[in-house]
Amino acid sequence: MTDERQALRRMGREVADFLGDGPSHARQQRQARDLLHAARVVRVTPRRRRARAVLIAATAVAATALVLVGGWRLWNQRRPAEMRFWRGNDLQRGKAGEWLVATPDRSLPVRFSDGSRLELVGDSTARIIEAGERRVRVGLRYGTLRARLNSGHAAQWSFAAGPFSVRDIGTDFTLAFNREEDLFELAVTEGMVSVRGPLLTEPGMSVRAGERLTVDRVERTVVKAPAEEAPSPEIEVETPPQDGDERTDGWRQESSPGGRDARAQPRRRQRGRWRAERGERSGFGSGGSPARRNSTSVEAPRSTVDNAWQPYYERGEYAEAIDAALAAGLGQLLARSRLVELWQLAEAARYAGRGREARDALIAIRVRFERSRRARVASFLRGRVAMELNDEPRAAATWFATYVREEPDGPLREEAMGRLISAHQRAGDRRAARRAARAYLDTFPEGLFASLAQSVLEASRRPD
Amino acid sequence: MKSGHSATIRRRCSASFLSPTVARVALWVVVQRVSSSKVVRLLERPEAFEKLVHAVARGDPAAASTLHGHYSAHVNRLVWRLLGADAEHDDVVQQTFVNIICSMHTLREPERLDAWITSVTVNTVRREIRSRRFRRRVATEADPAEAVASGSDPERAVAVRRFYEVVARLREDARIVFILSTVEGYTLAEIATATDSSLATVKRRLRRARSGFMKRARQDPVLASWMEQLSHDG
Repeated sequence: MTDERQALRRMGREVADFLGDGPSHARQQRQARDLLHAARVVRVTPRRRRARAVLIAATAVAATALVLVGGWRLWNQRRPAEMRFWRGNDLQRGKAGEWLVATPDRSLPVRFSDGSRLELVGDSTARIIEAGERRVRVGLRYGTLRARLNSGHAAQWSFAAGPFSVRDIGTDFTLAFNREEDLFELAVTEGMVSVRGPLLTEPGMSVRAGERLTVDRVERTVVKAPAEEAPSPEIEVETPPQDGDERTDGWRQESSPGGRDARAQPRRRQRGRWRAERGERSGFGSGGSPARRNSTSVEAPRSTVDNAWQPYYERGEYAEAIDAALAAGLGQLLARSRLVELWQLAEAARYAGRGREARDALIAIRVRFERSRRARVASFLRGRVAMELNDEPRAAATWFATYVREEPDGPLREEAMGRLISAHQRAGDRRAARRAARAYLDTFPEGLFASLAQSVLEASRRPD
Repeated sequence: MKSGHSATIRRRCSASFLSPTVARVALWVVVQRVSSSKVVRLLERPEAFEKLVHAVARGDPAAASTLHGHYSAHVNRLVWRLLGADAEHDDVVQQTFVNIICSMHTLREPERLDAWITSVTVNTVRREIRSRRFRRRVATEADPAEAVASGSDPERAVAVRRFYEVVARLREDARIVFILSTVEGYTLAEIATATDSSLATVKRRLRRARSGFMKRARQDPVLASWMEQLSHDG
């Protein structure tokens, strides 16, 4: 079987897994009641049936034709134009699915054909998942995104940020998501939006103009407040390591007196002050992900390594980015680049299918920035690289298990536990696969990988 | 259920339902738990099939209810996946059962009830797709993510929706064969039975469907990216 045919078969299975076996049991019971009701209809006598049938059919055809013609004309009049978009100040035509990247010193505007506008601010990454006539979907991978939407357009807008989704009813808001800190923030300047996601008890929490919503999955808090009543907690600034500083204790506290071991200090999580007034360029001070706002004031000087690979990365030319990194000396880049650059290198290598380079970049993150949140996410990604690019299911299983251990409440926990089942399966370790399947179903009985877990357990019950 | 379906039954049914004796309960059927396999075999003895088929053909509402109870999960699953969690899923399922009940009297081999119900379901979906093509409607009107758990991955939901949008562009026969093979995992022989076609016809349609789907999927950034990711899976 060809690779394409195999990929198609896997796609079909994933579609089946996603859809499940049909609507809920309650809905099927309603169908039964409706059917029984319809079955108890007045009997139609055979003598008159044919004439009535012809008359009914003829009337139905005529009525349907009138409705269809009218509906078609109305639909054509109302059909909105196809949504196109352009990115950057040079207005390059955008394509759905491609990554949009804003660097710390350069934001990225995105303009749409209906007049709507997005702006990626600071160190942020997002993509336009879908830009159709009736629907526009935007995925914010991390960072800050400002949206000004044309309310006159018929398209329905929605935004995804990690496990959170925001549906547009309003027109002007700022959205931020810090993947490593698992922190979601939204401030609405005009209109109203509806947010769904973890810890939000009411389905579709509404956030109105002048309000701000903060969801902290680590602290397990949800705060909705007027924007001007922003809490301003004490912020202990953590500084990134300077270039060449490869201490494995990760961040060094700025305020620690000389000679004091930073590891003796508890690591504090940052909170950025939110400013979402109209006219502010970003919702998180100078932009970027929420918890990193204040780090820009003490950020390490720019790296002196050759970053010729970065423009390729920003354009989504990932293979070319890795080739450029190799030409500049990948070892040196891995030893001297900042965390965000290492992350981008790892990402580029993954998307380009370069398993070895991806693994090396993720190792560098784990070693050099051991205590950072990204180092823990790197475990998960190492698992995926091992599984998908390097065909090393045993190593993949180790890394998925590492992530679950290090991040018991992490945002990728469900996926890590699910992929752990696949990794054990592929490695041929049936016992471990069963254990992983049981653990998964205990925690996520209706999760995305529930059917995989169930099939593993069912297979174990069948005699060989 | 819409009143139109009652009218549909009146118009299409050759059998008529006797209303007064709704207290008749089908005690001669043993109900098994519905499994997740493609076709559910619930009736243990061949004579049980025959009794059920004849009772439904006579217009016994209790038998119709029993039939629905046995095959609801199977029909729902098939329609759900053929149409992709469609907005009018319930109506299509209802129409399927109307068709089953009204044409039960044509089933000559009651022991083939399972396969016959699959075939009626597939034909009902085919007619629905054809009628929508005439009405120029997009086949997937509901967002799959709204139809399943609210915690679903939004990116995957979009990808699945795109999958069905591309599938909707195939001709209805090719589309059905494609979904039965790719999503439901039916063998060629099972597809031939379900679609009342020869094996050669199924092979030809499936080849055309795969080629058509791949050509469009390569041009769709969401599906192309998904396909690429799946290709890297060992």
